[in-house]
Amino acid sequence: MIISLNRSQLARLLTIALIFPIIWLDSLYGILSYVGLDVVRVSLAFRMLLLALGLVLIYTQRGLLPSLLKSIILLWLLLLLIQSYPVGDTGFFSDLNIFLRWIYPFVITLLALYIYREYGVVEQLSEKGIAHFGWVFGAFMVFSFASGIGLDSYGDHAFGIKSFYVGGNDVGLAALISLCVLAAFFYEQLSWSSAGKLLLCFSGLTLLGTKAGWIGAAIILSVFFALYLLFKRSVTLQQRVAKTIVAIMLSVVVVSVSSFVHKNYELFEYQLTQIGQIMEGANPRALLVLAGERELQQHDKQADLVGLGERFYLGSGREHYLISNNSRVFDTYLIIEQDWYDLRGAFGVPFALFMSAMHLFFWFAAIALFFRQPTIRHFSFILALTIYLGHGYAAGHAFMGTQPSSLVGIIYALIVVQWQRLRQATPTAVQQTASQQRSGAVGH
Amino acid sequence: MLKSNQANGLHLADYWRWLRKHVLLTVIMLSIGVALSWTYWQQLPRLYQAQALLRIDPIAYNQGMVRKVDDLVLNQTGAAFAQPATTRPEARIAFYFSGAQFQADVAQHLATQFAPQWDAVDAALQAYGTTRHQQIEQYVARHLHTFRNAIDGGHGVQWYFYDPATAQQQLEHIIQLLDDNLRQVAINELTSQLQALASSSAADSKESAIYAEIESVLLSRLQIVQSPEFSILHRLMPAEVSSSPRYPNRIPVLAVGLITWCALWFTILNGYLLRHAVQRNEVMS
Repeated sequence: MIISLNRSQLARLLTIALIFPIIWLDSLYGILSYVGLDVVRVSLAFRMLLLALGLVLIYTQRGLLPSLLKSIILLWLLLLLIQSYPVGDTGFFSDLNIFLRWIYPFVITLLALYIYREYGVVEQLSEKGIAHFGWVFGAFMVFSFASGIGLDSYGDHAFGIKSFYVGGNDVGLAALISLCVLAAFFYEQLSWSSAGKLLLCFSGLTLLGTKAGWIGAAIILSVFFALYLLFKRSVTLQQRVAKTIVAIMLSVVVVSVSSFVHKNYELFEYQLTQIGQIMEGANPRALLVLAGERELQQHDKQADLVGLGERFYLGSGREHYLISNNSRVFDTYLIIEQDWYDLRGAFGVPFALFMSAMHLFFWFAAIALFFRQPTIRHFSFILALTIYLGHGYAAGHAFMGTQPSSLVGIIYALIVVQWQRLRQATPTAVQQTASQQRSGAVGH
Repeated sequence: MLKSNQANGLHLADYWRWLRKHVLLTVIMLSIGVALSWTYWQQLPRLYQAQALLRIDPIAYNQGMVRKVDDLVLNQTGAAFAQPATTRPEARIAFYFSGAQFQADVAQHLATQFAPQWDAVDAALQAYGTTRHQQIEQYVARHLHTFRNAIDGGHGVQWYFYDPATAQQQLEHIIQLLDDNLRQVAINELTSQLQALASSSAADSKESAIYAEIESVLLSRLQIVQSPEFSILHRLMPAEVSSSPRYPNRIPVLAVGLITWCALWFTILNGYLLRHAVQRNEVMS
């Protein structure tokens, strides 16, 4: 049997293959781990396949992004070589693991751009893919909450479950990014489907019980509901009724949640205390940063320039367990969980600036895009990237987390596509498109 | 619709064609990479690891020679989230062990006690700094590793040197130095407590009997700490040294060298092939 696909079908198929399996494979891996089959690392195999394809593209494609990635690979290898002198204590394999995580979002961007370029742009499907992550995650979380099957986030001492997901922070950040896109869908078209998916994702984040998940979800939903209630144009009676229902339901939810939390304060005390401390300016990774700083202070200025590689994480582990309880063996590899520190400690300030600048470039591109075409989708990109970068610099798990990076990589590709389209269009066409999109964004 | 970039891009087949055309050059470049990596690994000095396990002597702890809570540790962790296990004495020892002052003490001690051994490895030390003082300080910062395990209150101490016998001797000196320093801290604390007691008892003559009792306890503690047989640290495992060099790590160092060489070469080849592809397209158009 021969199946022939045209370019458009191929574009759809490849986009689906790139984005949609992430959450399912992570869930599958979690379930396998739960039943003791954690050696079957299906999600790792999928990511390695994407990385391998990405490496092929880096060395075959022309353009700014492949050139930047080639440069950063060379820079990283050079730094590893310098670090290995004069002792030869380089931890190449653990450094490789962490470096591949750092370039992963850009590899996803490269793959998505390749698909768009060669087979056609499927923006809506890509955005649906990002949204898909959030509501599937929410569905698994609700299932675990209802059935009691799954893992706890903090054990017995605090509220929170993480269903089958091994990394609570990673999956929580990815769900927040997804929530931004789901909220944009809800804003654009109020339907049972969009409301249900938004609710699922929000429920998942609430059940997860992480500080970032709660703060992030509260910010995203507050912003989007405020935009919806203040700026969404309601022309027909049906739209006005819908808006009123949303406003009433929102008030009911806020009052019910506040009342429930107040009555069951002990259940949420751990998170609420810590959120209060963060609001007062406490650093959520204070102890880890202290350990990293102590480790860096023991080395000369060269450590700032080229980093310490694996030695930074081992040293931070030693320093951390001077003051914290160490239940493991003596050698402990510990990341700081603040992306700037992790980048700087491992490979020095220039490398950290290079990697950060690549992410910041896309963030600024998203902001500029919004000013050129102020649509709710573009706003959701800004919010998602702000949360991604903010989480990375405050609590890590962003640049290193392959779950959020998968979604962010797609957002980067969508930003590039939008910009390329704007640059190719004539000024008149741009104005027309902008005006159409503006009316589409606020005119429902 | 985005413009296809494939016209100016490459396929894996382009690399394959080039490699088949230039087999000899490929083999030569790979061989150079292997040779350079091997030479680099070979010229790195061999370091031997000496390690010991120790803990605070329970007798010293029970007799009140080591305080339960340490102000230094508490001050260092003033962040809101910091709730460290500072009530255990080993936390204090670990903090002291990893501090910059102790590293400076070790560097100074080893520099004077092992001067001929340092002279013998002068060439290897050049990578750590310009002056001998700076070299040894940096060497100690990089090669003195201490680990703490809260469950058994143990400390792992690792030290590296270019020959196994010296590594073992130096580690013994480091542990002895730590013990001496800790004893000095305990002596200073007891002395200051005695001074405080003297001023308090002078001001309050009614409770002289109680003050005298406390003073006798403090004096007996001071006597114990000053005794040459007394040790705050208890060895769980004597200093042992590795029979073969611990560093350089052969596989990682060779991998880094070879992959860096290959990546450099591959990037140059990529640039060449991309330029070639552009020229080919221009000719065709």
